[in-house]
Amino acid sequence: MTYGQSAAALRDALGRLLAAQRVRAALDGRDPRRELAGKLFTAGYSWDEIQRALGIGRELLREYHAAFRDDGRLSEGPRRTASEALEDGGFDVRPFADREANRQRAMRDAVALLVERGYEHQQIARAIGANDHTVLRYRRLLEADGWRPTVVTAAHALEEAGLEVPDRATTPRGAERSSAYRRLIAFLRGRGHEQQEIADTLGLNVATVRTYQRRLEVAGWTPDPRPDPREALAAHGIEIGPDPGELGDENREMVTFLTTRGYTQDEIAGAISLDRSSVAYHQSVLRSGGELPPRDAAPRVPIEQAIANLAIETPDRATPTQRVATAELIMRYRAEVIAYLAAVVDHSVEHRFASLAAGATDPTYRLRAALLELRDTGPRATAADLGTVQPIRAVDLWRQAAVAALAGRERDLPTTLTADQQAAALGDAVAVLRALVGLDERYAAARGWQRLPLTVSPGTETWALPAVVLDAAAWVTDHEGADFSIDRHGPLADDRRPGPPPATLAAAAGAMTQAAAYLAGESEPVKASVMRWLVDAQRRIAAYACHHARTLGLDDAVAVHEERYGRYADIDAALTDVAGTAGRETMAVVEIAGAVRILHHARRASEPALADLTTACQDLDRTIAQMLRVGAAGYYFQRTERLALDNLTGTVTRRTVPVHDPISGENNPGYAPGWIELERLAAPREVARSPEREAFTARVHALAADSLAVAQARNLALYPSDENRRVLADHTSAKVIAGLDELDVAGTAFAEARARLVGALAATNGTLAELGQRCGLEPGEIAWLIEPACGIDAEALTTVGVDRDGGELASDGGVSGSERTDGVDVPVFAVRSADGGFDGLEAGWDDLAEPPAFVGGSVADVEGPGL
Amino acid sequence: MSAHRDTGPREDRRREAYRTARSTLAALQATLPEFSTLSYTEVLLALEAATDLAVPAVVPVETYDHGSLYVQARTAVERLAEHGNRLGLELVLADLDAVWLDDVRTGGAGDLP
Repeated sequence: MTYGQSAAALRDALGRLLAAQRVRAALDGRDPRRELAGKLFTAGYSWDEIQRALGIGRELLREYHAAFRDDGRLSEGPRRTASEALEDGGFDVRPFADREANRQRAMRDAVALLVERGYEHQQIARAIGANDHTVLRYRRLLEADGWRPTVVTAAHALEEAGLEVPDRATTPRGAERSSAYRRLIAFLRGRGHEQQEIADTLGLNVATVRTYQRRLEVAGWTPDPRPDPREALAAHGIEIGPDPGELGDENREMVTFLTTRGYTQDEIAGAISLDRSSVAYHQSVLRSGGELPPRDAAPRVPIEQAIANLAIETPDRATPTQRVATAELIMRYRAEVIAYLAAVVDHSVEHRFASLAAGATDPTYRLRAALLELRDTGPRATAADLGTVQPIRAVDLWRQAAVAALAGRERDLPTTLTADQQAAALGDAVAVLRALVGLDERYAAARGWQRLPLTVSPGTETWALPAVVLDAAAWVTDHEGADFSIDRHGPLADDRRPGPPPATLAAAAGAMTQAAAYLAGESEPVKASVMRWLVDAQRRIAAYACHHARTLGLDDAVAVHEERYGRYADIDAALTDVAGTAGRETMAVVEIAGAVRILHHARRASEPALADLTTACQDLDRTIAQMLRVGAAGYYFQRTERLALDNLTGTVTRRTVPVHDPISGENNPGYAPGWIELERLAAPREVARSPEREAFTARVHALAADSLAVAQARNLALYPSDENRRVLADHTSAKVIAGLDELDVAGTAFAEARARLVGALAATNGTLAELGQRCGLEPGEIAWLIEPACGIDAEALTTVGVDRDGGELASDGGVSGSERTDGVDVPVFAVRSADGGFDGLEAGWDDLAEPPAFVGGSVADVEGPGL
Repeated sequence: MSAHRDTGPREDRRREAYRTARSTLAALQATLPEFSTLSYTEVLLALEAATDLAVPAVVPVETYDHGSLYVQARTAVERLAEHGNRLGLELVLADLDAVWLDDVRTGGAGDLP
């Protein structure tokens, strides 16, 4: 875990906590069930289900619903309108008035028909589903409209039934005729016609009809029951709709249907064409017990599962004791977080002020003082507190925050920070502190909660805590350029398990990776003594790695580490008499020492681990080579012994005196080739895999060595007494020869290092005209740039150029012992490295960041302005 | 940030929410008088600092009703907070609520007594 990870975990936990509290506080309620209910509303669960699942009353649920509706959140999501929902439920959604008018028309028709048919009022009432008062009322209404019942005569009835009266003239008297009469009389009497009317219709006299009837009765005849009036109605196509009671029931059913699906009264009223008060009435009837079950099934997910999915906890009602205990627990977690903040701010705030009053003008100082004071109040969380998962989600979020804070404080605290990194850390701390203050306000009314103090008073001053926090927040906002590379600080979690590290190659590779990161992060070369230790350690590590590679049978890796061993052995020899007190000490030493120890004991090697180790070693090689290169200019010195003559006491004494000189090719010939070879090893030339590869590589190496020797000789001729510049020129020549630098780069960077030009020219056998063309200058200007140091004739350089085969430059240039006359004191040493590892250093040393102003500079003008 | 994180429906929703939040906050700021001690712009800046999305163009809002603008802005920031820098966006919400409370208390005059 790094600082960034623990800080991010803390911020995330507190963010979630704030979100949970925001939802709770949304309705004043501190009640998570509101949000839950709202989500269930939109998910389409019925009110009853939600009510049962959440264990709350309808009133509260209605409040939640209203709040949700007011937020405009009910309309989100795939929710159907009330009318669509009714259609889904199979309801008739015609307006009530239409349906009622239709129904009344049908009732009048039915009453008229059935009265004309001679049915009793009771029969009619039963047929049309009303009571006889209703039938009477309709009859009176019909009569008031001028309706008179048309009586159905017996003849009409016969005609309607398709029965014929036997013709007396054609039908002979006898059984056939009497049976026909008997049938007709039975039919008509069954329809309720009078005997007289029947007699008139059939052309008989009453006595005959009566006789027929009596005979029928004797034979067991009873009059047919009259047909069901409903059949008559159906025969005439009259359909009575549901009666008002039933219609009300259907409305109520629709209201129920929509209410349980969370539609509002307005929506319901709009959908079924009722006014809102009627809807409210129906709902009140429902509420008093007459509820109807919803028609269709609930959403597929059971509501318990849906609640679990939403993960909003609904705490059981806690006792006051439990509440106080919870508050105390949270306060312990809070103390842990505050301790972390205090530690971070303590590391990232300048606190060495002359006096408290002077410091008090700085918001960050006030923040630090306030946090240090807050830190010492109240007990911290115990291991049990931190390790026990809390059932209540908010409390568990507090726990997570405290765990992150503890991990950050104990393991990931950044120690050395730049000003920008301090600003980043401070920004994090202020955000967390704002969250703490906000949560403190939310919890103010909770039982057993002790608020953060309103004021802090370190020493004699007294500051309001919110003001301190706001000031710090404003300071962070104003402070541009926060450097979030701090997020990568801190050791990796895998490296710091308790106990000694396992003796595996992977652990060694991890340590070496860490060491490479440490070393690459140093802004200056390490001290000479540290460098010697580093080189020796690398030599030993190369030996170990070579051994493991050989065990694994990896020939490539064996070759790599054998060559590394040779290079480091050379450098080690070259560093024997190198000393210097300038530079840094680095944590990489600790890691590398650990790696050496592990490698000494490591038994089981694996190929990936060895590959990691090799990569880390090559990273280290690169950094070490850079440090050696930069170190020669002002950090590392060659220790030589010279004879000195003392004659203080009158007698001349000879003794040897140690003298520290800048490293040069003369006093330490192995130094420059050492780091150059190392650098070449770390950034190997890409040679195509061809059969002639070996030969080609050997040729290139030989050529490079030759070229380097020639170039160094030439540089020596150019700078016979100017050691710094000669070393510089040597290095630049070497870089160009090694393929790490080009004439182009040297040309564009000419302003930074004029000596580089000499080196580059010497190495490439280039002409001034060529170089001038590359960097866009006149050859004369180039000559002027170079000349003050060596006094070469510009014309000669331009025409002749620098010849590789000889010392023309030295002889022709009339090399004199002229000292530097350009007024630049600091040695210009700013070779731009490929990976930019020394950018900061470069910027600090670069005294010639801008091209020098040319005052009357021309080809003929061989004297620079500084002369 | 890799390319695949910039696509997908969630990112689209986040961008949409960000645009809504910015648009409504800008509209809220426009409802304030010219010289005002209150400022939704600071909320806007805090929102920018707490969001890693590209800053979208502000679009015209549908309503100039104060309350709905506030509700829309708050809802949009809440949606952003669901997948993002939680703490930062929660603090943005706190800022927005504070400014809104003052705005309501001063009745839209935009100046504290």
